[in-house]
Amino acid sequence: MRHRISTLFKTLTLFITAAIMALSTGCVTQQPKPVADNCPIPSGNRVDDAFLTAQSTLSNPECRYKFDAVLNALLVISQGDPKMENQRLFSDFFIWAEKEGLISKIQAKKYYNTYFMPKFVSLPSNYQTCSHCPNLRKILTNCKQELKKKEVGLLKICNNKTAYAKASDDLQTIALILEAICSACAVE
Amino acid sequence: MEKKKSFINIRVSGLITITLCLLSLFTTHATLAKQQPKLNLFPIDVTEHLRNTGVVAKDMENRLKGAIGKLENQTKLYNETGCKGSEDPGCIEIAKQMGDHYMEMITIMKNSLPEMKSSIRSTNKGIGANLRKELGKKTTPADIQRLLSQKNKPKVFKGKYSLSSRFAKYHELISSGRTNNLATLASEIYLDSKEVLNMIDLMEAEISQQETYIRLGRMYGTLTSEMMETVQAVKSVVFGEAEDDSALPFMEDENSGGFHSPLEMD
Repeated sequence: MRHRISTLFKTLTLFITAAIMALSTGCVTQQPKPVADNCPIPSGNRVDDAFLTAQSTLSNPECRYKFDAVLNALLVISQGDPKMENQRLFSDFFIWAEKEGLISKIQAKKYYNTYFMPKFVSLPSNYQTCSHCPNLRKILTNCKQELKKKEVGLLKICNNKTAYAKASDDLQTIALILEAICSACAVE
Repeated sequence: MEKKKSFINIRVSGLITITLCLLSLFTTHATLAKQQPKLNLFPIDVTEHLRNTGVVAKDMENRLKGAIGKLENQTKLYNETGCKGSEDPGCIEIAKQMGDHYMEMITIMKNSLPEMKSSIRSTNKGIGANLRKELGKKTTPADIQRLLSQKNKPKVFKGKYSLSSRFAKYHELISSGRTNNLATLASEIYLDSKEVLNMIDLMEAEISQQETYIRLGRMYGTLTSEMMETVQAVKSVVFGEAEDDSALPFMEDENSGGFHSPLEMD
């Protein structure tokens, strides 16, 4: 009887020791598996690679929601290598995004013209100017914000000083004309 | 049979004529639609008001020049000879003359300002009505930037030159047809004339107040600081400030660096 209890005790001890060893060994040797990033945001300094990463990421249906983050990354990376060609890269990127259904055609045009053309998309293109006068301040504030984006696109990314100067100069003149028109509309 | 043939011929040629007419109408319409809106911002009456404002302003300037010149010379003499606070008869005489010249300036202004005001008001009203009609009601804000695409940017005259030079230059620019940016020029003239009208109102109020002071005998032999400020205000409004003409140089059309994207908006 005593022998049987002793054998049972030994077996139990062995089992517990083995279990503890197995557990502790497992804790030491097993490394956490790296989580695969399915939606990488473009990084680094190479503009061409950044656009390739952008297209690769956004081609994944699960990553489409990252369009804004990807675009922001492209805008930052491109500033590291300012040149006229960047304008074409962005144009191609927006056309591709539109074809992929990531953005609408209107959005594509809006993005491109906001950053890379002197034309102000913030200026309303519907209804007569007099009807916009109550919102004149808001319109001009939006245009000033757009000018900052043109500074990024035209000046910092494309190094196109002439186009940026035209945008800046146009905005001053537009503000003058709108102020005069709204002052004249108010007289009526 | 012959009759039937000729009837068919007439019908075919008629159809061709109608089609050609419709096609030509459509083409003309499309071409017109592509053209920029033709702005009628300076009709003859507005141009005439502008010319008249220049003439009236010149006349006032000529009359004011003498009075202000004499006033300034005597103020300089008064200050340089240490007349301030002096009871010397010579100093009292200079102070009296300064007062007389100041009154002369005020009288000229008082007599000239109503005509000046009326002329500028007509200019302002005429341009305002056309701005409202031609730009306020016929264009959208986005159209306004399209109007700026022309190369010649008008120079800004506001505040830099005398009133007469400014209005004479505005008139010259419009009548010579040397500017394409009529919208900018009309806006500039409209806001400038509005500002001048406000200044004239202020000046009239100031003049009337100063006249009362003088009549009440509160001018103790010399000019007060308020009076000197009035002289400076008259000078800056009527004669302008001497500044360099720093109009921005024209930028060539390199806006897109030669690249044109299909995403560009009209």
